[in-house]
Amino acid sequence: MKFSLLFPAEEETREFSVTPYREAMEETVYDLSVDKAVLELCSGGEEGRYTLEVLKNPLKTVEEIEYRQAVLLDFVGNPHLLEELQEIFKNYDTLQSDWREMQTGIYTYGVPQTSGGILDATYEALKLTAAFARKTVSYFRSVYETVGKYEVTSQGLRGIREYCREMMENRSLDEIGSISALFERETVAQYRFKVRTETDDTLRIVSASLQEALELEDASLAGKMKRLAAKLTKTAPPPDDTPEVDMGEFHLETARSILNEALYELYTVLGGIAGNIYEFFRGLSGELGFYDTGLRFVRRLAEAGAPFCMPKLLPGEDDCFRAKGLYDLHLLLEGMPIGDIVRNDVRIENCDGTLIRGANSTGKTCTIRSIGALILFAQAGFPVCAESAEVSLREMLFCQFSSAEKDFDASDAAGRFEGEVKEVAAILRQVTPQSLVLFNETFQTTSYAEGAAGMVHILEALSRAGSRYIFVTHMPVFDRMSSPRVLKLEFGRDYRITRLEKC
Amino acid sequence: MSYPSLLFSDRASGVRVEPHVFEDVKLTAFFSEESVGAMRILCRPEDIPLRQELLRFLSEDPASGRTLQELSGITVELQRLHAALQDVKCENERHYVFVGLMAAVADFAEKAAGLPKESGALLRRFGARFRADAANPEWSRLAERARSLREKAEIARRETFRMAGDNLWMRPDYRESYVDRLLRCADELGLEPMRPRRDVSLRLDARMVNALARLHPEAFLAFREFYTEFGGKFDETILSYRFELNFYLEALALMERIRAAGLPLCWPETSSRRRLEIRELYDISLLLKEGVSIVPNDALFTEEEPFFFLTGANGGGKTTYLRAIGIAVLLYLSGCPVCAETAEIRPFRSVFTHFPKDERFEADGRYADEQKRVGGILASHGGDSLILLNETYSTTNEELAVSSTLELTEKLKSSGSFTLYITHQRGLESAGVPFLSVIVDARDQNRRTYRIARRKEFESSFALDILRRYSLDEESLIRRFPGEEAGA
Repeated sequence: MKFSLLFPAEEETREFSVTPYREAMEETVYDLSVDKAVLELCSGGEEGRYTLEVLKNPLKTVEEIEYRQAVLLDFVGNPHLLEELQEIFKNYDTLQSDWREMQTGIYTYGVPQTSGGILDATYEALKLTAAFARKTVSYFRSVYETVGKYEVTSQGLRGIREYCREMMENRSLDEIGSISALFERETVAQYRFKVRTETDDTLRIVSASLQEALELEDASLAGKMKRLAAKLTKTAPPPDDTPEVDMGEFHLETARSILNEALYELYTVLGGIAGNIYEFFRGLSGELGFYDTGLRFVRRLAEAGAPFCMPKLLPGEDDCFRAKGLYDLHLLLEGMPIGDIVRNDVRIENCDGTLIRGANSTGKTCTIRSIGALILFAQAGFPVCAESAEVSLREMLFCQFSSAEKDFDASDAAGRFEGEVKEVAAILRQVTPQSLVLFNETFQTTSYAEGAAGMVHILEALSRAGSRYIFVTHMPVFDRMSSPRVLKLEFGRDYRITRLEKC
Repeated sequence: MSYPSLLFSDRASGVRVEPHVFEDVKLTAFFSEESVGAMRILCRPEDIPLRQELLRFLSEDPASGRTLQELSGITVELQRLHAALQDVKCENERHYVFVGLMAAVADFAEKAAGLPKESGALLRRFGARFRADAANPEWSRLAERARSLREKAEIARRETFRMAGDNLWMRPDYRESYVDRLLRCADELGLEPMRPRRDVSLRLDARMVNALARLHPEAFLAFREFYTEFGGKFDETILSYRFELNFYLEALALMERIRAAGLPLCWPETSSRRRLEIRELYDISLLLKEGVSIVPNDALFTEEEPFFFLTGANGGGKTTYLRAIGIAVLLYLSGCPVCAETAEIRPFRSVFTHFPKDERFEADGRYADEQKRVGGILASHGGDSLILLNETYSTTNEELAVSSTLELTEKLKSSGSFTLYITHQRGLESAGVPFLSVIVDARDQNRRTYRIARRKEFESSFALDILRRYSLDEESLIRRFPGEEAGA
């Protein structure tokens, strides 16, 4: 079980880095300049990088998106809760790495060569692991008490509170804590042990398990108090009449090796269990960073007096994009007053694709970027830069932006064209129904006639694949595509969209 | 040898194939190191049909195959117990381990005696040996006693050590350990099952073994009595069955794998002439790659044409063809069936391969290394071997390569051995030997057919069409994204 504020009913770890579309999404985020915007919002911090990872993995169901939207709204209403949780989980993040670091420190001066040295090192590792287990277990209480102070309504935050309460009352977790508490003494010499062994049919010991670790008398005041408390709370164990063979004083390596194996077994199992329990909340600080970015985004828009909304998500089959007052976040982040930014109403529905043309610097790229960013933000659970928005879920969002920003050598037109061909080919290998592909001046690095001919075949192929496209171009494709399911838009000098025709 | 061999009716041929030959043709992917060790020692030609007979029987009688599998498992135990017996530190330990060893021998003998009597000469002789043991009352008493004491030995396998400072006690105490408790808790919490990762193998010190004997005096006394009576009854030669059995089991597994892939298997006929003729031969090493369709080819070497150059485009299947022939001959010489429609193979004296291997050359350089390895083959092939040369002399300039190749060809083409030589060198026509080449279909975008045929000239290499490489032309796009006829 792993608890998540990003995904409802999280049963397994989601590793953002391993999706098959990772490379395509890197390209999309770059082309839409969403990376710049997010890092600007977060002043380039770790939260920003994590948020970008989330944005590169768009959600595919309305339920998942609404789960995030609700959590973000809870934090918008209770910003101190986010701060407190971030503080708690900042420490949590380093818990496991500190434990590993300290274990490495045991061998700072090399691996011990004697059986006594090996035994001491193993006990040290067990002691550190027991401390790690105790600390990990203690987090359930901290989180429960923190969230409990605030009025929250989201499924995510109410769930985490309830989950922590259940864990605090769990007897197994309590027993793990009790066993971990046995190994606080400084050295192995401060205990008496019982080790259960199993041998094979050649009398080789094949397993050694610690059955009992009893602390020897501690002469300190604290030790006396501890024993007194134990006497008051526990009944004496029954007399032990198990027959024994007394082997006397035993300085042999074998005895130490057997004890070492038993301690090592306990260390590995306890470490594994503690690591698994740690997983319950691992990654939560990153998730909180994502919400921190969301909160900064909302504050920035509010401070600028810019309109924003939580978009309404529709199933992919509805196949529409409707945004009223859509604007480009970049222009805002670059310092342009909101009053100077042209806002357009964009309505794309019941069509296979959209062709956009217009003179240079009329807002074509700003608009295609705004549409792409809106979809990415919406499918991440963020608010969007529009007065209102209704968008269908997209399986994937691909971009091919042929722009001067890329590191092409302008004199190498053939190489540049082939580079674009490769990118388009990569998109077509991955494209799925209900995806959206954004092309910005693609194939203009070859003759317009040849480029247009090639693009028409590609756009038609995307339609047949059930995917949708928006193509910003100067090439003569408008006349070549006469399907009634192609929407044609044109930008005027006033940055306004004119709906040419839906042929 | 007190126990009869499953590999040889009498003795081996005395010739050993070099281990790298099995690596070069990739047979090591199908046979373990031990089995390759057995296959390297070539049998005499008269033993080939005996092995074929045994494998045929096993492939038709799965129950006997399973018995051999079980026997192989017991030989692993026998080797482990025998090694432990060689290394005991006290008498109590010796008596204890010996009980286990003899019980395992009894298990092996009982299984072996149960094999069918009509099972081919080698297996019949093997079964008969153990049936004779079973009929011997003294052996029966030993086996019964060993098994009963093995059960008794179980009680001494779980103890607890109590440790305080430097003092140690041993006690029978089987209570739950901390790890048992933690694992139970983890299970209740629904955590992934976890077990300690380290394999423990610690020897009990002699004093510990003696303490164990004091905890269980009656059992250890019985072990001692057993050893006193039967200590001389263990025959080490039984341990050799491990690699012999494994060879047959791995050969059976390979046969099953070939059949499962829908490929043919045939039992080669032994050719009395200098001849190798295989029809529809498949390279089984391609079974290791998923999703590859294997194209069969024919191979024909005769006294008149014992030497071929094989040339052609890269990736066309030259090495595959060479490997397929090597695998077929090695399998035949080991008594196994081959992956082909029909095969007639001469019982070669040995098999040699010469593959490029960067790691192998020494300080003298790669050409010197190649010459050295070629020299080894020339000295050992004996005029009746199969020699497979893969791009030999490709590490030097073309002029020296061609002259070295012509010189080598001259020595081999009339030596009596059969040679297949893959090369990209030009100017070898003067060698006076025929050429084979991979066939490329020029009418179909230079598609490799993986077929091998005689050619008079070298095939040339082909470049790919850059536009089609990206499959973004109209035709490719329609093929990839056909869409729906209606409603589009």
